[in-house]
Amino acid sequence: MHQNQRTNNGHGGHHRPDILTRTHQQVTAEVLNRTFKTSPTFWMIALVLALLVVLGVVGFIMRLGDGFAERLPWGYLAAGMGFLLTTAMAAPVVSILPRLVKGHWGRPISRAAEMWSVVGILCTLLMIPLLFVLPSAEGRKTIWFMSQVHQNWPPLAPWGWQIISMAGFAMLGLALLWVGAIPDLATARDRAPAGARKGWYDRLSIGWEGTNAQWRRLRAWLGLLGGLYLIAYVGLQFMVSSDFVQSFVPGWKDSVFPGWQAVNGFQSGLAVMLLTAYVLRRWGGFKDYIFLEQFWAMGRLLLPLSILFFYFWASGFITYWYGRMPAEHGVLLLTQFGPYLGIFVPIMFLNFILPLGLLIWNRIRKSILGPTLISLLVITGTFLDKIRLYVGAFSVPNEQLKNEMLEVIPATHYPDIADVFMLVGVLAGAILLYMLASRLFPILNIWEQKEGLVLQTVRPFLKTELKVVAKPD
Amino acid sequence: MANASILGVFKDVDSAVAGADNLNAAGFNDFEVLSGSPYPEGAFGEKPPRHKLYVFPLIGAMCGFTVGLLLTAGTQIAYPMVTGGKPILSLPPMAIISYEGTMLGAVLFTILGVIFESRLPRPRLGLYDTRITEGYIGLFVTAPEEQIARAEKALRDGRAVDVKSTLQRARARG
Amino acid sequence: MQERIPVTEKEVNEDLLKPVFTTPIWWWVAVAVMATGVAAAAGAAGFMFVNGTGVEGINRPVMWEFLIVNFVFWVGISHAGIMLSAILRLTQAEWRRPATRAAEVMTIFSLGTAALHPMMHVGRAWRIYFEFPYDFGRGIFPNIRSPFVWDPSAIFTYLTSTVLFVYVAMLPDLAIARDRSTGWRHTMYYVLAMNWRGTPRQWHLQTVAGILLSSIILPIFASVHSIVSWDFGMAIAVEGWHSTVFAPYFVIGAVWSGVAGVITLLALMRWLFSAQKYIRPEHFDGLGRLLSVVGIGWFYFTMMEICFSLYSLEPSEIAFRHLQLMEWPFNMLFVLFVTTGFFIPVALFMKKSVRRNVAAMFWISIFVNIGMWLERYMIIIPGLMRKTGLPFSWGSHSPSPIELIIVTGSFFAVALGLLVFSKFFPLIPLSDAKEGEVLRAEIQVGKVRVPAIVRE
Repeated sequence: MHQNQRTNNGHGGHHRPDILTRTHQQVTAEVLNRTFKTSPTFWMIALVLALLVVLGVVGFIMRLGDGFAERLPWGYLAAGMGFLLTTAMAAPVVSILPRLVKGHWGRPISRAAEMWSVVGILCTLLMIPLLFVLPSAEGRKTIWFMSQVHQNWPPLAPWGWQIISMAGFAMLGLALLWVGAIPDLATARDRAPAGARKGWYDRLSIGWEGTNAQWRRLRAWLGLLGGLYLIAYVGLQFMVSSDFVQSFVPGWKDSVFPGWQAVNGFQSGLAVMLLTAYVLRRWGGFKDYIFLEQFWAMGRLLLPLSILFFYFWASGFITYWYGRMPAEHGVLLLTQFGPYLGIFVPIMFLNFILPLGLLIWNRIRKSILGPTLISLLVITGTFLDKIRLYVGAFSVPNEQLKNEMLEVIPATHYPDIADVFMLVGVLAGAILLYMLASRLFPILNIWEQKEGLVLQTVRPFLKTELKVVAKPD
Repeated sequence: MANASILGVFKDVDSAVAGADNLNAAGFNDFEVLSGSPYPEGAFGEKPPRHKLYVFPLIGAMCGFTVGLLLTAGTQIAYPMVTGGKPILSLPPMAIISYEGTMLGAVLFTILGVIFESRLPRPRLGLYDTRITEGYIGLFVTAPEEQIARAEKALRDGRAVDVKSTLQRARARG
Repeated sequence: MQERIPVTEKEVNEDLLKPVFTTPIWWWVAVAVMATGVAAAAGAAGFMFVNGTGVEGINRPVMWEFLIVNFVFWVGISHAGIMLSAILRLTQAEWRRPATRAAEVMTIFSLGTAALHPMMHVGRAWRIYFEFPYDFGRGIFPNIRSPFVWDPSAIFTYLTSTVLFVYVAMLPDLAIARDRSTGWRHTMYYVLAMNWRGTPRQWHLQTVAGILLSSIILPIFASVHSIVSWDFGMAIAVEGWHSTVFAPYFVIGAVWSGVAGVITLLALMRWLFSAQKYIRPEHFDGLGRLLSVVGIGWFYFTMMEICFSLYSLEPSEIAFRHLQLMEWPFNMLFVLFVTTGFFIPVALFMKKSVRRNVAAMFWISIFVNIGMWLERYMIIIPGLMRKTGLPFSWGSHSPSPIELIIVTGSFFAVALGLLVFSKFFPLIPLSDAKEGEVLRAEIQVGKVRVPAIVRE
């Protein structure tokens, strides 16, 4: 097997649709070219998005008129925050996971995944007004149960810890993005025309030269930050989903709920990345970099995660259904079978039944369009799910908050024009931030691509041709 | 004209590929490769096998689900005892047992499918060489008797270490 | 970097069939010891059947004791076995190769042993048929709304699937054994191998079947331990049990303890069968990396369980947690449980040098399982002791010798099963090892050769 080696780095003149056929220089030039030059269409889209963000701000100002005495008007804004947290903020996992298991498929999309962490800035901003409607932990059931036993312990709970963890998480995401990009920023520094852009690259690449020691340190940092990001994500979902959803509904004591939200996050983060990869391939000009392999790998992950989405839900549901205590009954009625049944059923279809029913087919899973379309379903389902949970929980009035159980099931709360404006603004803001970040950071990970060129090759084997991938220790 | 079989045994993969090429050149396209370990598909220039294994678990799952559903619903209707304030036909428990039935059906049918699609059990082992499970490669041809000599030549030209055929056996016996 | 010696198919056959065809003295000694232990457990169970379940240490309200703890423990061990094999097949992890069959076979024996426990526990093991809807004559049927009916259905499905999976995946190995054996063994392998010949079609179907069956068995695996957890979680009587996280919590705990069990088994196989060439440090490395992630995940669920039980500050819940975390001897056991079951293993799994040290991995894996046995104990026994918030109906539990003998015997039973199996069938899959050799490659980068793998 060792003789007759043919490498794929462009010299063989051998083209396969599933492997990168570029030299190192070509990769650098192509990716940087797309970072330095911006098409007018791009700015047009950015302008439209910016206008939508302005619309969102208008909606927010309209909402401010309602004040912070009642939680109900803020439900949809909270759902927007929950949606970003469960989708965009989970997308970097798609970069962390392949690195962890030494899979090569993550290389072309790792930067695109990490860049979604810029949405953390927006998430932190969104949380600030919501803190004003978060009641104190006093006298109600919450994860800050210690404050019932000892006065004001831990200090700052719940508000301080919420914003600290959200902002900290956003910073962690940015750190992951930045550290992973240092070698590429250095490459950009060396090639950027003199000017403000070059100055930025110079500062951000902190004197990277690519020595062996620097590479070793980079890898160690990436491993550490990646592991921390995973853990912190699950932790943040615990904080946000238990404090901003569960604790508002009396009698809701659901230990699997934060885990379920995290799983939904991994599922939706993957869906976001499928969509991003499709956009980059179709309209971003990276047809020769992002292949079927990436979609296939993500499709294969989306299937078990969609099953897990159902499994975590079922685990909570059956315990409540079987327990049949009035408090449990009230929770099931509010979140699932009462005012929000009309979106609960579509959610189950969009997040579980359709992905399962479609992705089990080899022909759909192993395609580019199949997983992409399914990811659209999943993202829609997650959006509805956050509305169901956050708006449902926010609709519980203050006087019920300290009860043992829900005495009255609140009616469905429909969005008004301000809510629609805000939600549109939130979505547009997330995409706009992402687009702006792509003007600074090369959207394809140049150094990981180059590493992949060295570690993957195609060799003839008897009568067939096979891909050989390295699995370094 | 009766058919006969011939088996060429090759010491390594490269010579087996040469033998396979010879067979193809001699017009024997429908030969079988026997190996002691799996080789990547298409290694011997063979076509990817067509099979319908994916249908089996689906049928099995449907059967299992039906049985599970009938069993849970039927027994509860036949013996309606209310427990824990739950309805007689409670969907979640029925779903759990039907789910187990579905999966059991899927596994049973898949196993049957694997055995059937592997064309097992074969009534007789047929021409075989125990060295095949030791790393040797076998090429197995079934052809009309008068073509066997041609096949044998093709195999030997491909540096087969050993060639066995049912003709020789018949001759030895006769 | 780990040195890998290329081996020929012939060598693989000789090395891996040697433990099957030759029987050293230690094997007989081990079997004798194990059989004695199993016989003692059977005697204890018989004594219990004759004298009633009162000979166990049960004492109201603690009516579920060591047999149930042990039941959950063995179901847990059985789980990771096949999960490991299935998940690694699906992800095409190269380091699965020597571990798959051992993991699957461990599933069979530990699941069988586990299933015996509730039967013994209820005291009338011969009435097990009550679990099945058989009584069409009188029209009396089991109550399917009870988790105790879900449980046998799940275990039955799981056990059947695993046995069949092991068999189908073993066909190529049976053919190899057929070609190299004589006498009654030859007849046995001949019949079992169903005249397997090793055509590309058959090999292709092996691969497809491996993936297909793995993906069917994984959801079964998740359902079985979920259902076991619902034996506890469905009840509202015991405060600490009625937790929605129980299903995933039990499943990940099962993975944690079961994969550790696979490490124990692999280390033993490496030493006993001199399989150093096939079970290499890199395999332990892979398992250790997997386990460090699983361990952290498991700890998260443990935290969720405790956090949300205190969430509503109910008196019965507080009484239970106080007993579990603060009162002697459970505080000591709790500390022991989190150190052996989490902190020591996860901290050590982070270090590559530890992950590649077989002896260290062996002992750590035993630590994990000590911790995980204690985990089940900490959930079940203190939970029942503080079943209600009313102190007058609190109780205690002290194990009786009968329970202890049965629990010890269960370990002997699983070991005996594995020992006997290894005399009839190879525990390391030969064809998988050979395929690994075929697909092995290297990529030259400058002055180093990086190990690589061929992908289709």
